[in-house]
Amino acid sequence: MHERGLAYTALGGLLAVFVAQALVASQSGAEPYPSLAMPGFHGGGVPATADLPVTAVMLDATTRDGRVLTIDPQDLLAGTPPATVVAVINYLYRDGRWNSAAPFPEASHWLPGRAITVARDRDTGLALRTRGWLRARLAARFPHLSIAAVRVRREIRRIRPEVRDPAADVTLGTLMLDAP
Amino acid sequence: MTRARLDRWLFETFVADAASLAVVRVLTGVVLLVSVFPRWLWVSALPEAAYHPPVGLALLVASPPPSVFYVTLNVVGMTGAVLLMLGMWTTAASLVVSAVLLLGNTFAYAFGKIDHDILLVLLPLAGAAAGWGHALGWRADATTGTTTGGRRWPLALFALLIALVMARSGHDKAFTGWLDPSRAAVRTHLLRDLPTGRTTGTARLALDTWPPALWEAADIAAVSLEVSFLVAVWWRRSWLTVLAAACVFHFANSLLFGIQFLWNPVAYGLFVPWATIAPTRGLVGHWPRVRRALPIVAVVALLLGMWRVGFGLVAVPATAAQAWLSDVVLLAAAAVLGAASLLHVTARAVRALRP
Repeated sequence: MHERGLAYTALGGLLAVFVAQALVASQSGAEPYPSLAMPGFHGGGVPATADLPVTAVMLDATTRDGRVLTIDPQDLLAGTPPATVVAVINYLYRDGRWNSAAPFPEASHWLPGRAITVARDRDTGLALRTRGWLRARLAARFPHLSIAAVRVRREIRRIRPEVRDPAADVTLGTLMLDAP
Repeated sequence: MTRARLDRWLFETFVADAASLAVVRVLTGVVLLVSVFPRWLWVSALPEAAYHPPVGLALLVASPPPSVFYVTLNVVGMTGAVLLMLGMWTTAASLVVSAVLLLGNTFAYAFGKIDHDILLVLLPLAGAAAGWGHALGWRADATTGTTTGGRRWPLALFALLIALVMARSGHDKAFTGWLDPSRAAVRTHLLRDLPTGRTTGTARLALDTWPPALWEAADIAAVSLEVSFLVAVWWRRSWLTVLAAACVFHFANSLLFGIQFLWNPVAYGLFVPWATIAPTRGLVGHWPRVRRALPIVAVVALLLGMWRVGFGLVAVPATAAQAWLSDVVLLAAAAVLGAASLLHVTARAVRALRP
């Protein structure tokens, strides 16, 4: 009887957690972790014969001797899962993150991780706060280059065949690495 | 469903023998060592400014832990994996491995991308609850395959969990356009992957050669398979058939998308009677002799693992490439077993139809 009760309690718990997580995720649009879910890979997209415009954030590094090199964020963070690199770069350098006057938003401390998430999501100066990290990361990955500035731009590629019009690129911002 | 039928499903549908469960425990240990660990070493390369944890344990911490935290987790996790392989303190080792995976993932997924490897985290817990430590142990002799494992209902619950998560994924796809004949979802996702540089050669070949009908068929097949888990979970035979098809599906996904869900086929293994089928019957039968070599295997595995952690700290890309290769090889093996099982089921059905 004890075993049976345990089994049914576990069954009820599993169903309750599953339904609660599915509801929270569908209402808030944010997925918790751990989550009882497999990737949804939402659909839509393009017909089977059409090409697709894809955006990508790229880094143009200017060296101290005046050369300009394009660095793919995937190379900057080689070894990190590619989808994580895309998520990180898009989060840091999206539009509205380049306001140099912005103070870091105030955060409460009753749930420090939650506070930091809310503060960073609202932070209009977040991109500029990555200057020190980017300087160190570039030095570690490309020690033979002496880089003074990095222009972060969004490009649009039409795929396939892959075609890009450089004139359509959008500069998101520029980080002067020598600045404090 | 009546209470009696629910009882039957919960306590009788997924009865497994101890030796078969133990085969999966040994396999889990191997996969953890070969493919899963070392893990998370790349986190220390990410900027702290990108740390913005989702709802979960990481909400309690305002910044990601230092790299020594991930190194420690890797060492503890690999030690747990070796213990699982050896069959020593299996319940404790299972709990430790699950806890390590949960903790490491909690912080690694606080940078905006959550990987859906929940079955990997829960597999050791389900295996321990089902009794995968009752055979093929360090001290115990191999069982004959007739001894049942521990409790019966954990396997039923784990099957339901797998069915629910897969069906939820299928539901999301079905209601966001995967069944729309004017849109090709699989192709669109492959195109979107191109700028990330993770596009496989198989994907490029498919993009160049597949006709529109094949793209649509791929969309429908993915949704159908994922939803069918929830239909099949109530009967053991249909469940095993869907799991066999899913092994082929995961291998196809790894070839097309370059995403490895290796732990899913390993988790499906909990439902397979390994002690009675050819590839693993020999391992069970010869376990008393096999276990004599285990101390050497354990020492080599642990040293190799530690070397990979150390190497991973200085050469993360190389470690990731090694893991990718071992994943593909193991997924291919699972796909071969799945395809063989499907052929067997088809042949049996054809024989049954004959007058």
